[in-house]
Amino acid sequence: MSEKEKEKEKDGASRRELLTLGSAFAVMGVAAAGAGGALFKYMFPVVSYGTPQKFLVPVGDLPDVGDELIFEDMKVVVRRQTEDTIAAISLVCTHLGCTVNRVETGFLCPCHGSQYDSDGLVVGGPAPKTLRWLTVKPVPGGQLEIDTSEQLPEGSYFPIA
Amino acid sequence: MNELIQQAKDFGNRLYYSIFRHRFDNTGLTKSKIMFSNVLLHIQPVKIHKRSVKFKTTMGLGLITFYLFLILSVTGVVLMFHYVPSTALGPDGLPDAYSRMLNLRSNVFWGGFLRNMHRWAAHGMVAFVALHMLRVYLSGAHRGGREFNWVIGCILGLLTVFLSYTGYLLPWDQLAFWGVKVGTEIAKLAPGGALIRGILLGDGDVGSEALIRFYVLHVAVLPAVMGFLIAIHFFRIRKDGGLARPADTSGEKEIPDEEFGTVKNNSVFKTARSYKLVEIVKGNEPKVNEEVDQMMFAWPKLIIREVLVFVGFMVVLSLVSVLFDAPLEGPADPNHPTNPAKAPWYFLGLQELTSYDGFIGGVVLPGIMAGGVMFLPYIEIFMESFTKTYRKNLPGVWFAKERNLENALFITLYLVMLSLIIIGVYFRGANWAIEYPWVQHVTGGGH
Amino acid sequence: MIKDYRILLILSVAGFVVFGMSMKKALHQDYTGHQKAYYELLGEEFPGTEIKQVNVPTSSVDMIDRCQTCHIGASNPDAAGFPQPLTAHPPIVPGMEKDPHDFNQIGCSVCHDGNMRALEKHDAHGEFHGWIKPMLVGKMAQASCSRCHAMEGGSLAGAELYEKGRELFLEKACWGCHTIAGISSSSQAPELSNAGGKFNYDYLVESIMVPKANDKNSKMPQFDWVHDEETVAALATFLKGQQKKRLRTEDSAPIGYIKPKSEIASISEPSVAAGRSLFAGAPFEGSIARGGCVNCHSIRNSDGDPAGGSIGPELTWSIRSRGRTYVKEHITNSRSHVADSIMPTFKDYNDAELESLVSYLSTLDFKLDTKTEGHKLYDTYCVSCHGDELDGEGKIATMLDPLPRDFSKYQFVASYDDRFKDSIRDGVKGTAMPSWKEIMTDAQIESLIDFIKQKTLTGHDSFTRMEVTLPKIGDPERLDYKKKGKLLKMGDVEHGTETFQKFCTSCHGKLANGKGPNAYDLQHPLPRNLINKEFMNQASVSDERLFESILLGVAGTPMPAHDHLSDQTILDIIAYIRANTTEEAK
Repeated sequence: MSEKEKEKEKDGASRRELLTLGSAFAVMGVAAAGAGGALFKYMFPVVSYGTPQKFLVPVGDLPDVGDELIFEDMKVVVRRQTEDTIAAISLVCTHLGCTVNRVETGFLCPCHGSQYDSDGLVVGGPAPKTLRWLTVKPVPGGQLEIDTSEQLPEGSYFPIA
Repeated sequence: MNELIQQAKDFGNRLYYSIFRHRFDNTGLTKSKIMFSNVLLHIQPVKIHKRSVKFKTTMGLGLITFYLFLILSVTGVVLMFHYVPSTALGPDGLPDAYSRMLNLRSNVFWGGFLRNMHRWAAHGMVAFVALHMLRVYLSGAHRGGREFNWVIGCILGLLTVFLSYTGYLLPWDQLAFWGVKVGTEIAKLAPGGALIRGILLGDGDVGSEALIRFYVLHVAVLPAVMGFLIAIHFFRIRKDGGLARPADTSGEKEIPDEEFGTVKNNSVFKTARSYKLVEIVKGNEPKVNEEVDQMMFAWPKLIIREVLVFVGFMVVLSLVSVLFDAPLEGPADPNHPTNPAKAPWYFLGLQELTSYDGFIGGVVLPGIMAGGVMFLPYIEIFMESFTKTYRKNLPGVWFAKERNLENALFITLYLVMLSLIIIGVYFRGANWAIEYPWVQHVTGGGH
Repeated sequence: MIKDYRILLILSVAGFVVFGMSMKKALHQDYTGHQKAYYELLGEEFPGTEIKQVNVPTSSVDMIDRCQTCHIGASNPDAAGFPQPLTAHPPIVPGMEKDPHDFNQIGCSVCHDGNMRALEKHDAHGEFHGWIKPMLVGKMAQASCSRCHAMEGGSLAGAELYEKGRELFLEKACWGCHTIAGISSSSQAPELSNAGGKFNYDYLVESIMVPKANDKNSKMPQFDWVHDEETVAALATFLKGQQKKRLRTEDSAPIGYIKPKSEIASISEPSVAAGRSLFAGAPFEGSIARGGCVNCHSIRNSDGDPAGGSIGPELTWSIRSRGRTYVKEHITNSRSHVADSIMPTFKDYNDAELESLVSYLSTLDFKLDTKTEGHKLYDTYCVSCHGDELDGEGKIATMLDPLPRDFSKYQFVASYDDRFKDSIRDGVKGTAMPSWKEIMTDAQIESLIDFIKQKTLTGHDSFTRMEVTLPKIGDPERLDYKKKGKLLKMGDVEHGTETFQKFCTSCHGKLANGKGPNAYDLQHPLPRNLINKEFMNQASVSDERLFESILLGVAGTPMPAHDHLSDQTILDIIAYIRANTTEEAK
């Protein structure tokens, strides 16, 4: 065997070594990354022990057409637009998260005096954005599920059934 | 354009050397640099004796014990995010600590797996400490200047048991409560045991105070002490000249050079292999110019083998954690003792002994055993100093003929403890009466 | 080197696979499948899995209830026909259009127990070792109504099983021994006011059906009706409902009664009809009669067949043999006449109720023909206690203390002729043996004795017992032989006590009550209770009989002869025994 061939063989051997080692560490890396991801999911809350984000309203409990119903615990006002459509508006001020009061002209924040009209549009004060409009989704069993975590554009009305 | 490439190369080089400070080639210098320029690797010598990487030298037992410590630290910290050491009862009658266990088992993603892993690793660590000790003794590695490290190792072993025991209480279920209760009853028997028990429990009995104390000991105090002692334990291994080996290893089968990677010799000395890194030190520090032919670079062989043991062990531990759920019984209820109330398995030998005689079985024998084992190397040194015939300093030799008596006695001690534990675990039923595991019992129902 | 790398690669891949397994286990839990199946059955798009948790507010913290993660259709009427666990909950309050129990508010475990945080079936239903409150399935959940509702004021709609259990508790005479606050007060058996808080349902069922299952020494009888599953279930549900800890305070408890609670009958005028109701535990004038003697005692109808329980003695002849006063006293305090009776003390009965019971019992007039032969007499009058084989092991014998005489020990039958006859005729006071002279004629008694003798003595050699007479005190003709001819003195209580404690306590006990440490290992009959005043003070238990029994032992019983004792010592012991039962107890 010539010196060159020997060298070549050596190169091949070391390439094989590198390949094996590399793939081993790659597999380990993927597993470690997966474990890291799993740990993220481990830390992320699946259920809420305080006020839940979603709540259910039986269709029978809805207000009359043109009326509103305030859920103080959930900080949500439910408004019935027509016989078949309703909307839910969050009562959390978009400025710094105080609960706004329903007044005749719309909503008024007691903390820093933000003013909204009855559709939640800002008409005064430091509030940067419209009050959040929420998703209303009928669920099996004649109930509506209101999700307080989402943000929809104003005027988002939903069918009751 | 070329200039730009050059600049980019320059930038890349500076970035690289700011992190690694060495190349990755096969020269001896690089292999040395890799080892001592990395804080994680520097705990290990640049050059090691070839027998150190052989399976039969250590069987990886001490290493696995250390890995278990790391695994337990990581899973333990992760579990802390979902745990409260509180016995306060919710309206559903469940203590907070216990409901957290139920949460881990149900709505926390991967929580069951991590708890299983922590639990099995904790049991495993106690077992591996015992095995590691057995290996060290049978290969005579507690001698040859390593006597004090054996004592530190024994303290580490006791700490491991204590760590495992303090963690045993945390789920606050019946198993935990009564296991710990029985254990602390044994402590009562010792002189001054009532004092220790009082300090541990913070109350007359196992209760909310005990839980918070066990928790703090388990997550902060003991791991910190343990980490500190592990550092000393490892440092002394290095300063004692690496793993114990016989005075003359020339007769041992050498590992061929190809086995541990090629070394490009760019030294001026073409023939002699030297070990000149620590020429100024004296004593039994790493051997200088001794057995140079038997020495090899730690990188990459040793490191790869260590990673190998880690990955292999993780596979086994994870598989166990997937297949077997950590036990959880009903919530702790001080009014309804489980029958039998058994301590954790590693204390069942003690519990078995105390069932024959409280003081002798619970204090005298274990005291003699722990003390005797801890000071075993000094007993040997004592004998060597005061007699002319006792010469049994044979580090690194498995089952040395001269040590047959000692080895036999040590193995007997292990077998006795093991059989006591087996009796305690499998052959003791209600009221600590003898029961055969293969006989099914009809229970009266109830709690 | 390549070898190491290859092993490392293989191990890494293995590790990856195991990691994948753990992920699969974490991602695909039971409820994932259930929720998919639910939406498929509904024909709706699957919105993704979700842990449905209800935080149930109670007076302190929130209860965490995740049951509807699997039982996802619980409050959806469209899911009525779905298989478990997806099906809709059946209506709780019958006849209500909209059920007031909203599962989105109160969850499931408030009523059904179980491990409400768990999401795996076995775990969630509380079927693992040591779980305090395994799931209450179906109607058993009625035990939980009282956690929120005040049950005292009326009968709750939908809690029929619980209500039936309450009635059974009164009708089956459980109340005679067990206390439940507001219903009964008795101290003979464990209090059950918090039975549901302490014990789980299965434990209660087991304790009702096999009282000795959990407590070997339980004195609770095993009733005949325990094979009726519905009765046991109703009782267990009622007992499970006895919980001190409530989720709502009494003033904030929702009411929800549909009808007033069935009242306990108040009997102010004695009548046979009321007595019958009490005896049978049957409703009286539409209300529950607090009685149920029939669960333990039987009576004989005019056709001669006994009916009723087989735990206490038959009561057909009780008034004739015992008299009205005795029976009344025995009901209100069973130990007034029989020192070791296990009959409950029904001290809550008023005079009218007692009189009614006695009146009813005196209407029972079954009697055998005067010409009936011994065998038939035995089978009618004696067999329930003394047994078919005359061995004293009749079906109710285990509940009697002292145990009925064992005639199969022929030595005894052969030894005491007159005593035998007297015992039948006059009864044995302080025991369950009644006097039969009002029921049997002398001729019948003779033929009964003949029957017993013929049955037990045939096949045995004749047995003659030594004659012993009580030595007279100070009689120079009758000296104490063992003490070298000393004159006998009056028995000395102190010395008697000493001797008794030395020789007699292992069987008769330190208190001389017949409950010594060895007593339970002895063969039938058990040691005599020597402080049973009624027994000890009757004419037939004379000093002479005591002397003879101590000196020679009692034939056919474990009582051995004590001829190593001197006459004087025996007299001392007798003095001690007498002192226990004549003076007031020390």
